[in-house]
Amino acid sequence: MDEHRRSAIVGWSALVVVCLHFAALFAYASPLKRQLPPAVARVVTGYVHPFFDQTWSMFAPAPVSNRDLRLRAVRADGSPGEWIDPFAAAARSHRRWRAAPGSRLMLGKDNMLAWIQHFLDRGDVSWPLRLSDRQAASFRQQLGYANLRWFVGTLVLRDPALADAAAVEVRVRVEDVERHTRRETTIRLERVELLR
Amino acid sequence: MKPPLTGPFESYATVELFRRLVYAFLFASVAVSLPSLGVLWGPLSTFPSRSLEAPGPYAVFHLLARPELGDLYWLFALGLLAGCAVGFFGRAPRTCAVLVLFFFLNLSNKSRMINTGGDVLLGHLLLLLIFVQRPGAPARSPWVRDFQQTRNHAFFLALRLQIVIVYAATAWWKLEDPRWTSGLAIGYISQLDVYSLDSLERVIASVPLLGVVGSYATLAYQCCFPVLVWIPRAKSVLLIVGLLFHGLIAFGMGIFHFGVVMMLSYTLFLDETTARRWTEKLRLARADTA
Repeated sequence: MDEHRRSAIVGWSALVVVCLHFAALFAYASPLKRQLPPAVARVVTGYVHPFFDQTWSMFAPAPVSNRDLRLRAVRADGSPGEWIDPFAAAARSHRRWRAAPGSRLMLGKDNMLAWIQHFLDRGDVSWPLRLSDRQAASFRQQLGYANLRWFVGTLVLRDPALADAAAVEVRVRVEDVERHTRRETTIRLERVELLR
Repeated sequence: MKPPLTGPFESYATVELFRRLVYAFLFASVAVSLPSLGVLWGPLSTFPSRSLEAPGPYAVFHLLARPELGDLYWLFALGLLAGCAVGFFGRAPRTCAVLVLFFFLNLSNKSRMINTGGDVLLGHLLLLLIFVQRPGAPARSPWVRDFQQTRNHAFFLALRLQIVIVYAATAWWKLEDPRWTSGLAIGYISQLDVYSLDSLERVIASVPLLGVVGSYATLAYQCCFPVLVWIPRAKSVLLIVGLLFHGLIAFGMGIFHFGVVMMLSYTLFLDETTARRWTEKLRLARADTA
């Protein structure tokens, strides 16, 4: 086989592979994903996930919520402790030096609270001061709950202020900068479920 | 006509500059996190690892989610430091490229809640980087020689297209969001504690037009990048504007890893001469320090 023909086979084949790969990535990572026929979407997802998994919807929709949380221990006799901000040090570090681990923790905090807000924003929850039993049971099936339980559970093991807690109350506050509203709710986590 | 992705590969300096900058950034990033390793990646990390059922070979990148290996997170961090340090100086490039990807993905998958788009992008770029390597001894078989050259061309193109995909996809998502198309997005984002600075919020609050201009400029930049970056005359201006844009994301918005990774990825669009010049400059800087 002559040199030109050999190069052409190798070169064109590689170009086709690269084009197909990035066509699949673009279809998966962009809004095009929603418009693909189901059969094509299955093929694309099967190829991209998990190894090439990526979504680039960064800040779309633009976030409009300032989210915050506070915790307090509730002792066995029912008496509550002081509200504490577990991310106070991370927030200070995030403001001072963006490269510090505190910035990562603040982004993690916002992600964690976004999952919780996602549940609380659903139609059947009207942001009461406390979740009803039915709402709390529903919340316990969600990813937001799993993340929160892990977070508070590890905090109970590390933070002396929470060491003797029979339960921990978590107050989640969400301020909407678009509608200028502020909502909050309190979620109670029993010690036994935290350390399960 | 010359077939595509063939002929001698002549962008080694560009790829090597990018590789070294990425290794240096990863090294610094992990070194800064050393006092907080347990909080970020330990078995009692602040946030859980996403319970992802890693199928087949992909499980090798989820080792820290396994209870029996979770305590070894510090070993993965040290491995990443060592891989980046050795790779930076050009020793055992293929082995280092594989090890850096292995350690990086294991740490990254352990802590998905604290990851930014920069971590996701870096994982993909590190994977593609493995396959752009200077050949050792010249291959005897012409097929192997052609394959090596085409492999380098193809993965170099893939590295660049990966960046283009980021801009193209995110531009499309934003064009579907009324907050972006109405120019209000940056104004809202500047009011969020996590993604802003007090000074930035004050400036945009006092001159709301800045937020509108910022929103449309962001949209315009992200829409234009996938096309203009291939046009040599437009590229320089585009990349300089992009450095400012991503610098603001890193230091203003506080999404540090994403901002820095995007800035570093711009080296992939430098021509070989410029890349060589920058490599020389960096060498001089090191010599001066020594």
